[in-house]
Amino acid sequence: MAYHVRLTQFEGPLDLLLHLIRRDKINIYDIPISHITREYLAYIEIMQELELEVAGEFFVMAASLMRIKSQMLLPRHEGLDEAEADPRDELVKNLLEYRTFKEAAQCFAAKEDDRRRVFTRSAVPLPEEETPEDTTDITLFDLLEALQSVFKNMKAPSLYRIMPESITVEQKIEVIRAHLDKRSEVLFTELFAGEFTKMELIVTFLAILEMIKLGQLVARQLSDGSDIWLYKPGIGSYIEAGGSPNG
Amino acid sequence: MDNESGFERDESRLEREIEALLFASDAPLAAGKITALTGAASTKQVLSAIGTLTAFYRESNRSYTIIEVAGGYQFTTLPEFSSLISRLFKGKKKAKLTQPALETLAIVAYKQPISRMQIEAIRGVNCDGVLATLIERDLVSISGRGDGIGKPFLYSTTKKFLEYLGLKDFRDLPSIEELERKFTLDIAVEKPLVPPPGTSSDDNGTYQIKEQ
Repeated sequence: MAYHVRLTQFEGPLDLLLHLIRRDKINIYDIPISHITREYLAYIEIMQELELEVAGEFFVMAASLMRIKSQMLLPRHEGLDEAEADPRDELVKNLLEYRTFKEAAQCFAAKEDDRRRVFTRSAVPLPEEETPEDTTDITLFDLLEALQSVFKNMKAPSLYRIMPESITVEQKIEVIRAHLDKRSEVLFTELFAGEFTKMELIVTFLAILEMIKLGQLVARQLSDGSDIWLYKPGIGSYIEAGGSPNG
Repeated sequence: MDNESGFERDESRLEREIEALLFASDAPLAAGKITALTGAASTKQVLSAIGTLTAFYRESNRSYTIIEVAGGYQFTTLPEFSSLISRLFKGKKKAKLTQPALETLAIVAYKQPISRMQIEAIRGVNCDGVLATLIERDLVSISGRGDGIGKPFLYSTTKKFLEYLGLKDFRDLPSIEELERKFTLDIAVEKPLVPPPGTSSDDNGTYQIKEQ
C-alpha cells in the first residue's frame, strides 16, 4: 500500500540548507557549494525514496544550487573582485534572513507558551442598548442606491493593469475589518475609494451585506439620503440586522 | 461629585470601578479608555489604582491578576492554575501555531505591511495556506494594497496578535539586531574573517550585517 507522508521536519529548501550548514559546521559566509549541493541532493533522494512528498520548491533550490556551482567554476578576473559579485551572495543573504525569522519564530513560540498558561475573561453577552437617536435605520435599498452612485463615480480602469488579483468576499471582509480596527466607523463611500474594478466594487458590497448579516457591521445614516456610516457593533451601538437581506 | 473630604473613599471607588470594567471586558482596556469611562482625574491616577489592585491581589493571595497587554489592561489567571483551567476547557482550546505559521507570523510582524510574494521570498515556500490560517485566527489581516503589478494585498498583524503572545506592544519583541546577534553567539564557527562581500551596502534595507 502506497502512503504519503508530509515531511514536516524541513519546512522548505532554506530550512534544509540551514540544517546541513549546522550539521556540517559550515561557515555560512563561505559555503562550499559543491559539498552542500551534493548533500542537499542526497537528502532529496532519500525523501523521494521514502515516498515523502517533495515540494516543488526543493527542486527549484536544487537547480539554483547547481547554477551557482557552475558559476563558481567560471574563471574570475583577478583584481576585479570588488566589483564582481560572488554567485553565492544572494543565497547567503536569503539564508541569513530566513535564519533570523526562524529565530524570531522560536521566540514567538516561547511567548505563545507562556501566554497559553494564563486565561482571560471571554466574551460576555453585551446588554442591548438604545438606538442612538440621531441616526435612522437603513434598508437594503438605501445601500443599493449608495452602490449605484459609487458605480457612477467609478474611474475608468487603467489600461496598463495586468493580472488583477481576484478578491473574495472573505478577503474583502478582512479589509473592512482592518478599517474598523483603526477607526470605529467608516463612510460607506470610503470603502469604495481608490481604483477598483467593477467586480471588486461588487465584492466589497457583498462583503458589507455579509457583515451586516453576521452582525459584524451596523449601517446607519443621519437622515434619509445622507451619507451612510458603517460601525462596528458593540459599546455605543448595538447589533442590528434590520433592513438587511435575510434579516 | 468632587467630594474633597472623601478623597480616600474616592480612590477606592475608582479602584472598584476599574475592577468592574476589567471584569466585564473580554478584551484589554486601554488606560485612556478607562480614564474616560470612569471620569478619573488622569490616566496616571488610573495606572496607580491598577497598581494598588494588583498589589492587593498579590497580598491577599488571589488566583488572578491584572496584566498589561496589547496596549491595555486585562484580568488573567496566574500561570500556576494553567493545568486546572486547561481541564475545564479540555478540547476547546485552539491548537498551538505550527512552525510554518510562527515563521510567517514573525515575518509579517517584523516587516509589515508585506505582500504574500515578499513573505514567500523570505521563507522560500508557498505561504497561501499558512496565511489563511493566520487570518482566520485573526492574528494577521489584510491592511492594504501594494503598488506592484496587480496591486498585491499587504498583510499586517492585528491587535489580537499582541494579545495572543501577551505583548504590551512591539517593543516587547526582540529587535532584528538582537535576533541576529544570537547567532554569532550560538554558532561562533561562522564568524566571518572578512565582512562578507555585498552584504553591507547593496541590499534593499532589509538586512544588515553587523561588523564587529
